[in-house]
Amino acid sequence: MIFTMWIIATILFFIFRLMPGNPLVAYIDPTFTEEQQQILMEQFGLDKPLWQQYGIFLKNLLKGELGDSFFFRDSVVNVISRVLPNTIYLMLLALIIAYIIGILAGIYLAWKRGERIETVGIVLTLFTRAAPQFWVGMILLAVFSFKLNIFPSGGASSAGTVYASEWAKLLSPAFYHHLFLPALTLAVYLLGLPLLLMRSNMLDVMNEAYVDMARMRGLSKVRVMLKYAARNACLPVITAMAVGIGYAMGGNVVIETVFSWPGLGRLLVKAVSTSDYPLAQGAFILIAGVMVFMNFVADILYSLLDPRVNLENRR
Amino acid sequence: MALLEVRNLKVHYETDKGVNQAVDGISFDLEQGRSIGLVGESGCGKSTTVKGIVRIMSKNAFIPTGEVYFDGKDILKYSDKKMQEMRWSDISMVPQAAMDSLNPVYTVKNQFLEVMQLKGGMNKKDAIERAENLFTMVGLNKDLLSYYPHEFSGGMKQRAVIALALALNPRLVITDEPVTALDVIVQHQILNELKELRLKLGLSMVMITHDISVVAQTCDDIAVMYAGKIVEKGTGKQILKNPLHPYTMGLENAFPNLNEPNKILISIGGSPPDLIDPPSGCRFYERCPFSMPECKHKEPGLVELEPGHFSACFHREDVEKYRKEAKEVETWQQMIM
Amino acid sequence: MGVIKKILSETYNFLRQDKFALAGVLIYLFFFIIAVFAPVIAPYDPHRMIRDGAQFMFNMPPGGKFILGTTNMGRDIFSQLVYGVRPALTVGFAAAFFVMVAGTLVGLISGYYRGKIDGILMRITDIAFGIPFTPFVIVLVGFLGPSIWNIVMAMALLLWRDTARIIRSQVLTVRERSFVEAARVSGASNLRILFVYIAPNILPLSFLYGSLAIGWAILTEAAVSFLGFGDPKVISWGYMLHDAYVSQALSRGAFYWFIPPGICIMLVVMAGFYIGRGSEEILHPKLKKY
Repeated sequence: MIFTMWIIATILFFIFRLMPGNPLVAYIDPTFTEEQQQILMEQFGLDKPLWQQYGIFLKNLLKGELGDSFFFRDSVVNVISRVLPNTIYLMLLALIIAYIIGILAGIYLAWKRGERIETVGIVLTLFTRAAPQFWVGMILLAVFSFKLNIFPSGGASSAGTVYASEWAKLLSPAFYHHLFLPALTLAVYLLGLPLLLMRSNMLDVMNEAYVDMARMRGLSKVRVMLKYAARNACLPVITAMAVGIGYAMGGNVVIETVFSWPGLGRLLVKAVSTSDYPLAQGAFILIAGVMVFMNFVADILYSLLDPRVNLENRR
Repeated sequence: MALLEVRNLKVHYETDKGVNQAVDGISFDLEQGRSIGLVGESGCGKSTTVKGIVRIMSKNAFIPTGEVYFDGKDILKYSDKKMQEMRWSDISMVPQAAMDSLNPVYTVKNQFLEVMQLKGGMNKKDAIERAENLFTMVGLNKDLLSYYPHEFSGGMKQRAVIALALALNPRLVITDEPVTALDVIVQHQILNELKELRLKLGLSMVMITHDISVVAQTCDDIAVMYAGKIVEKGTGKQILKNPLHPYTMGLENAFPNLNEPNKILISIGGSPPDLIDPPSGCRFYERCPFSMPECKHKEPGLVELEPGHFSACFHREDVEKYRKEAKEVETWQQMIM
Repeated sequence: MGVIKKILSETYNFLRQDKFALAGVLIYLFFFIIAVFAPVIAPYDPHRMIRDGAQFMFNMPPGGKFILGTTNMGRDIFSQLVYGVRPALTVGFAAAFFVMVAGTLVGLISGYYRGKIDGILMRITDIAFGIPFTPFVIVLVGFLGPSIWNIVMAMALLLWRDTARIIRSQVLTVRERSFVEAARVSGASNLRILFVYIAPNILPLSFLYGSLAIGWAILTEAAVSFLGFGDPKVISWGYMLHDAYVSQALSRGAFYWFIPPGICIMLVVMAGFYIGRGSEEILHPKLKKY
């Protein structure tokens, strides 16, 4: 995990240093005064040879020093930490919706194997994987917000209002009112993987001897489907979450833009379009970091759920 | 009235290539307290028969005709719900491949309690006690109950599923290849234990196996199956001492026996016929060393050649001669050409 | 020559059996024809702001001369849609080609030679997996400039990763098979074994991932264009959607503008899924750590 992050940071370092144009631009806003520029040059060692710069870069990174955003005139760390939670809430809600619907639908489609609804279900699922996420978001916005006026058209709060604190935000219904459409949009895209994976695993598991034997013991069909088939089939789906999260982060970028959701994705887009290099760099590192971390979490979850793994720890 | 009376049972499968007549008219009786072995090679329809009796067949299987009387009532006419009630409480099963027959993500205890509480209506305390007793009865340490299925060894697992099969005091236990996956010594032990349990508890048993020597050890009656039909039926003694059907004679040669360690094993050449388009005459015709021209076109029915001993073969008087020839390697080898 | 014939006949048989794949091929054919004949099919130049006399045809609803209406700058939506097939197919196939070539080569070399080279290549692949795809493309395109080839290149840098892993996994199996052993014993050189014996067995998988890659590439290009980093000289479907969004087409309910491009994207991507038994891989995803 750490190795990957290190490589990513290194790649970033080279991308930003080798950008066409003045390499100093990566850290110094041309509108700074001579003096300010000089200070920054020293802080980031921009007048030193490349390999020394790299060392400073890594050291800064470990210290959590990511520079200052040109646009916001605030430290990158501050800017990011203001919006990072919003992205996490969005991802979490989307993942929950996607996984619940996906897993249940996967079980259902497996149960209905060979019937017409199975084909219909599969084609519909492929649609959700083939449709551009932002387009789905646009449609949902146009219909449910602009036309039917059920949901707000963007942002995390109504125009002009501000939440008193993080907790106040989480407890306020208005927040969820704003969160719902973007989360739903992301969920629509994400549910394909758990659905298809669950269905596929169920079909495999339903052929296992222990499912037959459970029926033989006179247990009800529902119980057999859930406790015997689904419970065994869902283990790999949890691992799949790691893959799913990778896709989620990419999706965040566009979905946050469509809904003007104040999150990390939208921040990245803004930073790139305004050539705010420090912010873009910081946002990118964070996004990669979140992904790597979530993979790690998924691995742990898997080992907890499958008693065949990690036997010694359990006895 | 016998405990189990199977009358002309047929179980067919729909496949892409046609209807597979896997079980094509099986009849046998099982008296209370006795055991019958259904013997035959893979694919002859033994497991299918049993799955048909308790109706846990796959989606494309169906029963075109037949009756199965359990305690005098035709259970094939029971609704799915009623059948579900009967399962495990009246008829239970010791499965093939005990390895995979338990849910891997729950403890063994959990699965015992599940069936005893849900179907047997026991409370938790009683259920645990009974589970422990069952384990002790099959020779397992009761602490093992808290373990997961994959933590058991092969022989232990087999004993565990036997214990589970007895959980609700069923009247009939079906065992499907109960010892195939085990080594010969353990096979012997488990078969003996099964026999003792059966006698002690007064159980009736149907044992499915492809190994005729296993059946010899444990079963009172034997029904030999081939290509979806019963080709010989009788008591264990009758069939093993005086086999009447060539297939039975061939089977006897093919399996190792602890009592005859120097026995030469002779396999029956060829393979069973396609049951989607079964042959019109005797189904064993292709592989039978004693076949006659009439065997190809006419199907021999089951005929009682001595009291309680039936055979589906046209050889009825000169069986003694063929029995001797069947013991020679050459007889069978010439069929392999 | 015999190899080509064999591939063609196998493809023909395969298409006859698999209805999904057939549908996919037909869809591609359809769009390909449109791409080639775009100038004939589209009534207007997609960039042209259309005037009727002195008045610009802003935001015209569908009807009359404008099958799908016009944009807020008076451009014919239908023409844009038709011309949009070109960048879609170009991006899709270019990316897919690269993915297939690079991914397959990495997988082949990695899986066949094993040892250190495998270690290095797989490490690189792991890193490629660790980098979030869309953000990476955005950063690269954002800084290198909005040209369609920058987009393709940025995608190509990472998109090969799935193919590499799965081809490697497949090669590991194939190389143990007896005909490979036989070839080795008879003195065939490594290169020969690789390309004559092993490659044909993994090519189907290559094509499959290639066709999936078409879909991913088109979706990513659409996303990048939507965010405003697209090539304004080339009006892709993603760009149309960007245009619609920033011109408030959503609040005006101009469904005729933003629905069709999305549908087109969806169809082409689906076709990619259907072909090459993409359905199989997608419907039965296996998750193993390679």
